[in-house]
Amino acid sequence: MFINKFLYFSDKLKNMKIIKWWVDRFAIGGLMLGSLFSTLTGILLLLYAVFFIDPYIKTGKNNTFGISEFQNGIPVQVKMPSYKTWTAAIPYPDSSGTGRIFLNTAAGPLRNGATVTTGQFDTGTLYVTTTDRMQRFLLLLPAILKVLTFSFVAWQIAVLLSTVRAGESFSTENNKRLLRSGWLILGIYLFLTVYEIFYQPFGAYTMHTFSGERVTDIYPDQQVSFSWLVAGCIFIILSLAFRKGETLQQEQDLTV
Amino acid sequence: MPIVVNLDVMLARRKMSLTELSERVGITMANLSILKSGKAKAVRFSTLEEICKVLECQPGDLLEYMNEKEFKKLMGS
Repeated sequence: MFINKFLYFSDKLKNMKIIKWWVDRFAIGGLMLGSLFSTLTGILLLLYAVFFIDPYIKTGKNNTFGISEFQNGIPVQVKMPSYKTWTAAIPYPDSSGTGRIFLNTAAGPLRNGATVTTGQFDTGTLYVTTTDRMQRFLLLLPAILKVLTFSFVAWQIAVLLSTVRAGESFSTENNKRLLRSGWLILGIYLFLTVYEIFYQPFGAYTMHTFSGERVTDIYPDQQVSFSWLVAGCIFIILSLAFRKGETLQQEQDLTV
Repeated sequence: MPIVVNLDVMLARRKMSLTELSERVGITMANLSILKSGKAKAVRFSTLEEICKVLECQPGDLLEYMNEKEFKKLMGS
């Protein structure tokens, strides 16, 4: 009985003009706009990364940081309103309330030659202030890749929806669109997983930098989420379904 | 597929054009062309029934099975 009611309402909903209007005008256009917007964001990110950005690693209250976060030799800077606790080898904040740690310049046991061990600050933000463009690029690469992947997939879905609307759902092109999106998502997932194993801090900083959320812990497994794997698989499974649909459609078209 | 549709033979025997058949049977010219050219993957019983009714023949008069060799020869020629 419940199912009948549900079917009745879903049928009613499907026939509602407003829903049709929304799907027609908004869903496809919105996806295309979103795709364009995120492509633009991706390019801006790249430019920003290479020329301007000072992404933060940690912000908020009662933060600590350790060796693992500096292993790739990114010079960092701590901005804070007043003097806080520091361990040895980390300079005190200057008169402007900015503590500077340039790991590249010091000689020491780490890969980058820094002698910094651990640090702590109560309030403030830890920034990455490298002037090396390559490092900036590497730092933001995961975010850029994710944005570009999203824009590509969104575009593919938009085009697919428009073909479905035109009544040509099961075509070779649509099948390819889904397959392309699926493999791209899986490829990026794989790449970022490997990338973040080798460049743990880079990957870790990136997303938090642009999402603007508070960061308390930095681990690579927060970055490439498992849902990417699931999404990629769903796209590929969908493409298989579309392939079957294409065969059935062809058979239907050639039935007299 | 080595099933040959002898529609043109029956049409010639009944001295009927494809257009006339299409109108009387009520299927489109495009579909009739698919049938005639041998591209069709399936024929509905209802379509077959209508064609047989109009052409006053049996399904066996329209459809013929050939072995692969003969079929290839026919298609090649």
